[in-house]
Amino acid sequence: MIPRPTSGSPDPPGLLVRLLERTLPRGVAGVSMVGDLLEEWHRREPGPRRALWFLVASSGPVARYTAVRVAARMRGLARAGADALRRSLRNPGQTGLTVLALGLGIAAPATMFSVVSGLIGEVELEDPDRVVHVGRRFTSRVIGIAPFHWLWPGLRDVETLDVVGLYSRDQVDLGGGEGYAQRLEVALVTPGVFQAFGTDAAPAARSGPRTPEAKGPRWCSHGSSGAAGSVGTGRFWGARCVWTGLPGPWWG
Amino acid sequence: MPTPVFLGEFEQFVLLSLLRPGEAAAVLDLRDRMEELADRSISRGALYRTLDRLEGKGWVAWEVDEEDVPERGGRPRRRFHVTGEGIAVLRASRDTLRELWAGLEGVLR
Repeated sequence: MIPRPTSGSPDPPGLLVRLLERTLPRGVAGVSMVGDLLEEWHRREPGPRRALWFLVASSGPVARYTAVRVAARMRGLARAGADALRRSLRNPGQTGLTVLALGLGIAAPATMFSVVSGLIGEVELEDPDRVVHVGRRFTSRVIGIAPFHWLWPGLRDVETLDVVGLYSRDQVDLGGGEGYAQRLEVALVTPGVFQAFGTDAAPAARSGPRTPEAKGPRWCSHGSSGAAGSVGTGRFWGARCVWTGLPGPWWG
Repeated sequence: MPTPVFLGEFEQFVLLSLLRPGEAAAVLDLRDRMEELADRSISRGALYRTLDRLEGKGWVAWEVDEEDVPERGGRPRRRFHVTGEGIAVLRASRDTLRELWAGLEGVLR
């Protein structure tokens, strides 16, 4: 038998009540179940036994309705999976096309990155979590260099950055050995980029021709060509690496 | 011959307790009444599940009690009653049990 109401007793733990309200079904049925528990709470004698009772009494419905919800979600997922499988089997052409597109979508970047990785070697960062990227996008090739003039003094004085490297994307036309020009997608980088990556210089920088008269940080132009047959040959890695001295007060 | 109707023991107990004289029962009152009748503890979860099941079968129904009970924090209270269909099922179940019992009084004495 449930004891008679006890007046003036405090409410049950709010956290448990909120948990009940979140777990039990929405609507009058669920809300009235919470109300029943609260009413019974106020009928019981205050004390630790009542707190223990409420904990046990509320954990039952929470466990039950959580299990019901999880089971319903699993059933929904299983139904969706079965439906997808049925549709796939019904239309094998479309399924094949989808699988092919997915495969290409995954394989193409993987191939591209393995080629690039093979060309420039594995870049192992000493402290990958410490590398940050600060940048803006510039569209003009000429202005593409100039903004560094504005960025550099600010970045150079930031004490939290151990090393600052600058880069800019560009295109370079090179005369081909077989009578045609090759346009290379290149990146102009300062040595700080390699320092930030924890390596002294890229392979291109190590083997490229140097211009002794260059002063201050030098730019190394390297990259891979979009022309068919050029990617992966490594012909221009090294020999055609262009070093350019960039005189200017901001490079120190 | 009518199809025999077998009700679960607890379902029957809930329906019969709801039919006891008095106003439509709230869950706590119903549980009080059942514990008094059976002289045993009634699980809250079993009672809610059974009421849900009976409601799904259309044998019980409920309406919201308009009375404001401060202890409930503004949460509504449901009052249950047995529907006409529920009463018909109870009657059929009683008839089935009577037929099963018929002629066994001497054996079970």
